[in-house]
Amino acid sequence: MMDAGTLTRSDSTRDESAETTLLSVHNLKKYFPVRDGLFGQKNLRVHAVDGVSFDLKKGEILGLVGESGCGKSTTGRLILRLLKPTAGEIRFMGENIFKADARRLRELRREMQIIFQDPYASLNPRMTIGTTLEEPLIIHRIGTRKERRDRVRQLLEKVGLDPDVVNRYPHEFSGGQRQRIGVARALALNPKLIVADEPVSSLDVSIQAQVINLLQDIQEEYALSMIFIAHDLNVVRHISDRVAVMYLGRIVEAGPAPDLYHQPLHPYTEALLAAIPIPDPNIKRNRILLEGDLPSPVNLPPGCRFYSRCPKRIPDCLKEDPPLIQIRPAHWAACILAK
Amino acid sequence: MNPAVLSIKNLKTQFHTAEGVVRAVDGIDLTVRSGTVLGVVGESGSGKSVTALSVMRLIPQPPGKIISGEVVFNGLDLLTLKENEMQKIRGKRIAMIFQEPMTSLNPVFTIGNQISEMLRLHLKMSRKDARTRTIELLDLVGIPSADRRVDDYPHQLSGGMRQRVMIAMAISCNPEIVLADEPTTALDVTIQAQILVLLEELRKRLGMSLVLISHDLGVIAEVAHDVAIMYAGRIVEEAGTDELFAHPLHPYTQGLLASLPRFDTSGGRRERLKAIPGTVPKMTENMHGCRFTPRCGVAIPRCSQEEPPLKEIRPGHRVRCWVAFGETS
Repeated sequence: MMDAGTLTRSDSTRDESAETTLLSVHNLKKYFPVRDGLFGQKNLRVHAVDGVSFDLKKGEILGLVGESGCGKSTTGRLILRLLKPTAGEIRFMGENIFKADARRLRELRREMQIIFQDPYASLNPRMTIGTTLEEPLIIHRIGTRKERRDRVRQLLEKVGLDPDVVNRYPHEFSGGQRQRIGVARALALNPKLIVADEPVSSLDVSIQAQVINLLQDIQEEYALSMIFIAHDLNVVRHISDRVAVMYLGRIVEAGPAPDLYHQPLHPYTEALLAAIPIPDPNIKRNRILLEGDLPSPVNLPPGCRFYSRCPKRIPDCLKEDPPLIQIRPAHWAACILAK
Repeated sequence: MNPAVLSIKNLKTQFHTAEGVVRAVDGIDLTVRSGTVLGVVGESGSGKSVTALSVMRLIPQPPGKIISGEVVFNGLDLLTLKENEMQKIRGKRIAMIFQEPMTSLNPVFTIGNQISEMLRLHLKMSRKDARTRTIELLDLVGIPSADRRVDDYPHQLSGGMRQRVMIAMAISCNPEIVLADEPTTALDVTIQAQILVLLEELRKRLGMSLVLISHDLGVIAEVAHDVAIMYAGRIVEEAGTDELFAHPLHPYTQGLLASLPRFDTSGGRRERLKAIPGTVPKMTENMHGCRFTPRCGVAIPRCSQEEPPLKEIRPGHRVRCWVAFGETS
């Protein structure tokens, strides 16, 4: 029987309390070894994710933002257990996912899916769309052949594609259409959680809006929880309930989207927001130009990681790496000056 | 009104591919006024990059070919020049900055070498003078300790620093025009802000004109004096920046602006974006009428039969749309 086959799970989950925690990430760390020099001293490590903690509620969309190298994609991959952490814990509906054995992991993977950035690289060019979408159902032994085929057609319709495209190959589709296929694939097993890693950043402006609307629709229909990883702060503001800003492997600020964007607490968030160009020449803003580049994640600077580029730094910032503290209701920041 | 330094007239550039002839740029007119920034906006496949490459005469031939048109630069039609004459203009009087600096810098030469080469070739400088000038240029584009960084290889620099090197190279011979093709697209937003400020400072200081090609209407709104919107190889609208953003007339321009999520005005999650339906047409198709018709929400029968001309309907504001002209079905 097709236990996950119906597309109307939202009815049953909607009754549950929206406050229930689906995912809980605690002090997550991932260090990658780097080889330096000819003989590879292995004690050097890239601190890609360096102590990240957050909760995700059922039906919530959490935006994870930051610039390249901040650790946002690594965090997403750790949540899906595509990478093993150096330290820390991730609980999915109370269960520590790093303790799951291979069989349990397979079951867990049904519940958590990913949408990748590049719809060109993430679809197998030699598989028809029908096969691509049916594959997860076969792997998880869901339904009869006919039921699976029906499900594939249903999924295609759901993401706004003609169900008759099942026999076509990825190259016959545009970027926007491929990303719709990526969304359909993520939905195939009726997951509870979707990690979307830069899902619209390779799409043209006019197509981006179509895919964002689609993601919003499916999130509402299935009461999905979503981690939306992106560097585009406009998109993240639009889609997220809550936003976490990352810098050099740490969350430096997290809070409800409207609050974080209107009253940012961390100087890095302020600078990010000030740097977004606004498509209205009449709006003149104060530019906060950050000095220099991101410091190396191998040799982390002492004290606050943002010190070297911070326009508000004071000597005290060098004393310790500030912890993430709740400054306003549900609004956290890791800055000794935040109040 | 500043005089024109570059005017493109009826430029057509095509590519011969297995699927047929791609009419990448299909008869466009553009004018770059001296000392100003012209923003060219379009999505992938709109022809904006091919336009810049055509001006530089860098279209790979075959499969590409400039079919017709004029590119008049200070009274000289670049399309009629011999290759050796063009070499004296390319990089010297008209320079270009590309999106991905890593692919446009040579990985086996130091950045100093690559900039010095331009100076020695175009300005006939001695090795020693070229090195001194290179360090000055690196300093000018904000590379810290330029006298040491001059001997670095491209891979030793961050993306933002590489783009600064590309800018140093572009301005090395005091060009009259710089064509910048998505110069900040590959960069993080805080680095993008640094580069945009740098380009603006240099442009004012050196009195250059800048053609800024971008898909990002935010970047265009901040930097450009004039804007041209391209769609499927054609210019569909052009105006001064303030005028264009205040009164967008073409349904495509209006659609682009309406489809953008904006952090400053967003109503958040419960709001739906006004997406433009459909996709960009295949450029190999024989197109009748306005190319935006299949995606347009206000199209009338005439739109699919006859292509509208680019017509001025407000002062300094030209648009290619029957509906904007006041036609009704």
